Amino acid sequence: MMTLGTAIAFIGASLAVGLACSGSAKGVGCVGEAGAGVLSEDPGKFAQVLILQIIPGTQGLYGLVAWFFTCMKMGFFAGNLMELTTPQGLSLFAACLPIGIGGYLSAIAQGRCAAAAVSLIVKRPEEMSKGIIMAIMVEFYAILCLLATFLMVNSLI
Amino acid sequence: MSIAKMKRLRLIALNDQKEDLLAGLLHVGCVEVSEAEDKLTDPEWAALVKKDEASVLDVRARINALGSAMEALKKYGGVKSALFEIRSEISEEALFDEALYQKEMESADKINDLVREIAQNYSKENRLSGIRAGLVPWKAADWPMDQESTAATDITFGTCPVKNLMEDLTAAVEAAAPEAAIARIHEDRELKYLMIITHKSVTEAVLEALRPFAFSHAHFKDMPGTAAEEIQKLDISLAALKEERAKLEQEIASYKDEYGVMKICMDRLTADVDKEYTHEKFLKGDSVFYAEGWFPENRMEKLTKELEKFTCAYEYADPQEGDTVPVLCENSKLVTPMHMVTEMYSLPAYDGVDPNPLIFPFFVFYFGFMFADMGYGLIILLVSLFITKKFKPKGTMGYMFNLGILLGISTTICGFFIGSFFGDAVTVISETFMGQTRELWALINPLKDPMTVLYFGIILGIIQMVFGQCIKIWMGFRDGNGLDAVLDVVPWWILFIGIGLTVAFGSPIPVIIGALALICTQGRHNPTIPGKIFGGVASLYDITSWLGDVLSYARLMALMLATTVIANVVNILATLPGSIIAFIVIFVVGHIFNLGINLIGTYVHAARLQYLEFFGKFYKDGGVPFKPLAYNTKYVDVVEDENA
Repeated sequence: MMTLGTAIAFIGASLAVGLACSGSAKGVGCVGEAGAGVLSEDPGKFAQVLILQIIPGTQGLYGLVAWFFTCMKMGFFAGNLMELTTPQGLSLFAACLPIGIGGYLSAIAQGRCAAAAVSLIVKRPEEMSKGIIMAIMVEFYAILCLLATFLMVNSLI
Repeated sequence: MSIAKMKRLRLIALNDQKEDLLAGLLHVGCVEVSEAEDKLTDPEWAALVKKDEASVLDVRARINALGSAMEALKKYGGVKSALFEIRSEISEEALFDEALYQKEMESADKINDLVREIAQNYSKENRLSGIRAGLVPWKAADWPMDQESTAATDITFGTCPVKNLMEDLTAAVEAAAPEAAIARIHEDRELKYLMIITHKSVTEAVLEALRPFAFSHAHFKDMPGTAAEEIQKLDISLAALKEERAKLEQEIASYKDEYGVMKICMDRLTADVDKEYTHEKFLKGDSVFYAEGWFPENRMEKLTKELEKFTCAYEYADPQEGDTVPVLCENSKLVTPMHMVTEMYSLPAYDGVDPNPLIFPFFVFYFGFMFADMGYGLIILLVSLFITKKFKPKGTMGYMFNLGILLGISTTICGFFIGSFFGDAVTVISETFMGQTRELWALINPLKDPMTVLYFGIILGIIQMVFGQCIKIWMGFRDGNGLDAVLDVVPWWILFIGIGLTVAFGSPIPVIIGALALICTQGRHNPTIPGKIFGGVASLYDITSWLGDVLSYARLMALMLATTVIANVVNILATLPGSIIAFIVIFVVGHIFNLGINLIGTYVHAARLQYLEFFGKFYKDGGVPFKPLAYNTKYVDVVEDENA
């Protein structure tokens, strides 16, 4: 018999991975669109465009990490699902929110930044490292979100 | 260990010796010739000299020619370009070997001609393929394509949309004239291909009758054979073109052994174009020319020795107020890689202070602290060591991997203290595969005790910022307004000590003293007394920016945890499937991902702490980089021949 708390915790874990992956998909897609335009002019820039394109993909992975970690803590993989009380479930739900919301929004912001870096490498390919650095600045906030989620889930159960 | 002192050079020399002098300047490699255009606005100067004409465009054109020939060799000759060029050493004399150069330029011209021929070949092929595609539907017509009439009849080829039924077409033709026949040659998804034979007297009437069916007349010129015959002819020509192209490509490929020499010539041309850019800045008179520029003071002897070889007049002078002096930072081999970090921000102003040795210990330690893993540290260290030893990269690449060695060491040491080797790989592996729990020794476990790490990071940040303020005071005394710098800085220290004492003893008096110190000093530049007080009170607001700066160092803790957490998650994921092969695959891929993402992230954040928090306290930026006329080669290293 599954408790309400466990169910709520599952919603949280699902939102963590679902939102973060949606954001990453949007971000990666946005860079891909800009990149395809560049490639039509200069197919030789494929490697550079690809590097920029994967940058906003990390949030999705962080979301997956958070989902995985939460499910593992709840005993989902080991087969002995914990029976969480409702307050416990709600707090796990809350703990999952940072990477869900932060991952979703930061991936989109990072995607736009990386897409701008794609147009940078059209004009000045030698300045690519600066474009990457600017996109990576956004990454920091996704890492903070993952950290917050991780520390909370880690100490809650 | 500092910003190099610069001297100004003024030089007048004979036009006849210009080429040799340029070569001499390139040889010493320490003079940046600057634009002397202000001289030309002076009428007395303008009467004597004018801007020298250089042949930059000419040399550039040659660089392009050689470059495209080298590209062609890569494309057709299978010459691979390495990620890291292993540079061979070469003497100046060999670099400027005229005979070799002429020969390679000829080869390059030949290769470029061949490339052009290949391009023509392709466009011919495109044209023929287009014609062939147009003929294919008519293959079944056994009538010469360009013969549109006989003695009494007209033969018309044409198409109409496929939706028209053959019966309707036939009926229309028959209705218009009984002396006509229509036949379908071919039909595809869009069109019907028709052949119509008409008596000459009714041709127009028949075509008119077909107009409602959107019939369009197709003409074929210069095709004496039937469609099938013409296609065969085209196929033969196309095959010939292909063969010819293969021959041309092979001919290009036969030059591939010259690629190595071409690289040397490319470097020579780069040196040539640099000389021409310098040449452009000369002012030319009837028989002499004038040049001015900058060189580092410590190269004076070498430069004098070189200039003495020529018939020229020269003088050296110290920079004057208002001169834009180019900046060159000279540091020991250990600190030099740090240039990569400062150059990305901005060079120091000429009268500023060289930040490289100052940020060196902080940057290297912060990076290690944030990455903090023995496994990753060793990978960075070994890869950097391998590349620097094997390929000896120069320039930014060289900086990068030299820096990598230091960062790798620092990461490994910090990782040792927090007991992290690919996260908790040791514990996980021993538990899963050996059935016993082993843990690495750790001074502190950041996951169990993050607050200690946080405090440590923030204290480190405060130390760095106070250090930055000390530099500001030092700069103040150096430039003769030490008191100002002291008054800018010391009241803040009084306030911080006051905050500390208040927290420790609970009495508000120390804080009030600190605040009063700020109010009394920070508005001192304002002219009126109320202005001074207001300025002082307003400065209290800066406490927020200090707070922001201090909290910014919390990222030291955050990123250290991030590396460890992601590494741990990779380890857990790897053990899940329960097989050793899956473990190895997930372990390797996961840790490479973590290494990659954290490498860039940590670098950026270690740099950012210098740029914003540290530089904000003292740094004077905006220096113009010193770009002397020197060898800037890509493929070879020019070794100095001291006897030359």
